[in-house]
Amino acid sequence: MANQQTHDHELAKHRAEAKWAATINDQLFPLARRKLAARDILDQAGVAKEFVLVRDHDNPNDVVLEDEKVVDLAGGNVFRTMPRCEAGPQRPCTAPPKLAFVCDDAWEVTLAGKQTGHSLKRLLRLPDDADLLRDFESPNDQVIRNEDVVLHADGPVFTARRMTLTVKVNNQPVRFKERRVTALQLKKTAIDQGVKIDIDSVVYPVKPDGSLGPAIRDDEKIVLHECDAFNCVAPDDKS
Amino acid sequence: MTSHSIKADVSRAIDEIRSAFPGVMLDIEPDTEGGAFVKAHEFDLGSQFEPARSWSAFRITFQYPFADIYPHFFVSTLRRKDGKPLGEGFHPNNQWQHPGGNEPATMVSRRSNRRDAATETAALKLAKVLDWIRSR
Repeated sequence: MANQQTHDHELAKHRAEAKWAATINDQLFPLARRKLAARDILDQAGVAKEFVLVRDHDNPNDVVLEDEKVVDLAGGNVFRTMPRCEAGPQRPCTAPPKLAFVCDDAWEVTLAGKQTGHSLKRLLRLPDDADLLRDFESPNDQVIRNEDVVLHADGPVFTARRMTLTVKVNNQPVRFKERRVTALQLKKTAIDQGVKIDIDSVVYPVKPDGSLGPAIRDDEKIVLHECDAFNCVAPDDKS
Repeated sequence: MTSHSIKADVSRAIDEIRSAFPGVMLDIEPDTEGGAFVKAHEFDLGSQFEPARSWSAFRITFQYPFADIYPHFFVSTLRRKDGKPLGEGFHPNNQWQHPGGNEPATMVSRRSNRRDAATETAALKLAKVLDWIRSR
């Protein structure tokens, strides 16, 4: 019993310390705490007063949140905005809210607030050998083991360490020790590992379906995932 | 002339264009040498242009993948909204010449002098040309 109380106390402390974040219109914003007024969330996202916050649920009846409404991010941290003048009467929403799990400024959305360490790594497209830690406001981040139960309500922000990611650059494997790199770093790393490209190559992400994403500027940051693929080609010249 | 006369490498290039640009429709006409004339419908070129969207047409020759793909052709009425000339690399008053006929077009000529045949596909070339236009 004493052990359980200690555990509960530690968990409660951790909940108080956990970092929080929300996505608003597909952009990530760190937030100071789990419960905030809707207007405070909008202010942190730099959203004009003419807009209201809308919580994104798994159906069309998303929930409009009045400015003074206290929003618990544990009840859904995926939002969009809409013009205040369009926020009319609402239909009841019974669908579950969308939940964003965040790791190193990248995020994935799910409806499942209860995960394991392993399922969360898979959701976040982290390699299995990565160390996953829940990010706290203190330096003492909590190591998440594969078998640990991970609740979104305990804090959705994580960080990954000691991992090796392998991506493909021009169909050749290139290993990275960090997830967030610029396109220039991607090319330098690929060149260091023997890929025959020039440093001024144009970088294109190749999606799993084979489609090409837009060219990535040299100074643009990319969040790498295991098995990502890129094509680097020489820039064109005028003919 | 049937589609069987298109070389395998050229057919693969066409398939890669389909994969790279989902939703884009391709008109394919074989040439007499194993290559193909390709017209892709259609792409966003950027709000600085009018029209902001255009088809893009080009020929993949039988030498592919060892030959570069250029020039590319776009709608003949392409102009900048700000009234300035289209600029270097654009050649208005041109023609897209293909077996089905000739049609007025704006030619964009971008050559890849350091092209690597092993990595630069027709799809990547098209992506580069489109990005270049959008950056003008």
